[in-house]
Amino acid sequence: MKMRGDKLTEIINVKEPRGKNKNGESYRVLMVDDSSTVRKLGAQMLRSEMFEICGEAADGYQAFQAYKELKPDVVTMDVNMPVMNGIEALRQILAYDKNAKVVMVTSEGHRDMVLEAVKLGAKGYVVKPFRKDPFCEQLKLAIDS
Amino acid sequence: MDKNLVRAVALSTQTVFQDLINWEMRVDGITVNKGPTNGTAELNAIISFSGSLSGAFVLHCSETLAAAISSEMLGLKCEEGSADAKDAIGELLNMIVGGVKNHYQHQRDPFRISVPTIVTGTDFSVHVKVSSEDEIVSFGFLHVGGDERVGLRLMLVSE
Repeated sequence: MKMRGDKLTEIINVKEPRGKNKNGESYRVLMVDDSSTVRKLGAQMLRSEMFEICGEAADGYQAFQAYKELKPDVVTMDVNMPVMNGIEALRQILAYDKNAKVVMVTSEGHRDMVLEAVKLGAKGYVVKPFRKDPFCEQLKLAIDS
Repeated sequence: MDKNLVRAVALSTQTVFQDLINWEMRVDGITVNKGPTNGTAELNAIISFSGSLSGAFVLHCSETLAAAISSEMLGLKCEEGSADAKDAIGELLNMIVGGVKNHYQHQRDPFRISVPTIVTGTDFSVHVKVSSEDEIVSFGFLHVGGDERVGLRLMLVSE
């Protein structure tokens, strides 16, 4: 083999971005959180893995309206929000589309609500403050489920 | 006040700062307060909670520090008094209170927490119907390697 070892290492270490499907199209994400900080932070992480942020919502009611309009591949859903919380929004989204892929995003200490969400049909959850790798991985797992 | 709760508050605050913005925060004093809780800083985030434990948390710091924390969180420059700085402090407290709640997971749903309220200024007081002055505890935190100070106040309503 003529290729040099360092070149081979470089090729092997190149990771495919998790935000694209086999056809090279970005997965579309709807981010739901009443904190603009969390939405911005999450969007930075997801964009670096080539996910497309197709929409944002600051409460459960906005989330349900945005879901119907945007039909995202996956939703990141905060639990504790004003107007309508994430559990009720999840319930409404799943009633509208039983194949919806929703990942719950919550602070420590809301495990009871997360378990309720998983029983209802959420595809997974991440705990804030989250890190890029587990966050992106959880979304990819939800999309592939 | 329950020592385990005091310990949980300190630990959760340190963990959130460390995980979120990689700041090591040293506990720089814990005091039991007397009288009403007066505003002590320019930016205050308030979260109330109710259940088998009830009361309120107030996180307070200068607007300059709030902007610095927000900038660290987002990796971009945030201005003093900006919506980003206010939102970041609210979210920081939300995570701290979530961490405290996590220490009570042996109890089913120990308490529910409100969304954060942000108050700017110093000329105000927060009143929670505490049963005794011992149920108001103030924590001071100091950024190790820096001079930034953050205060956190817990007001507990006993059953």
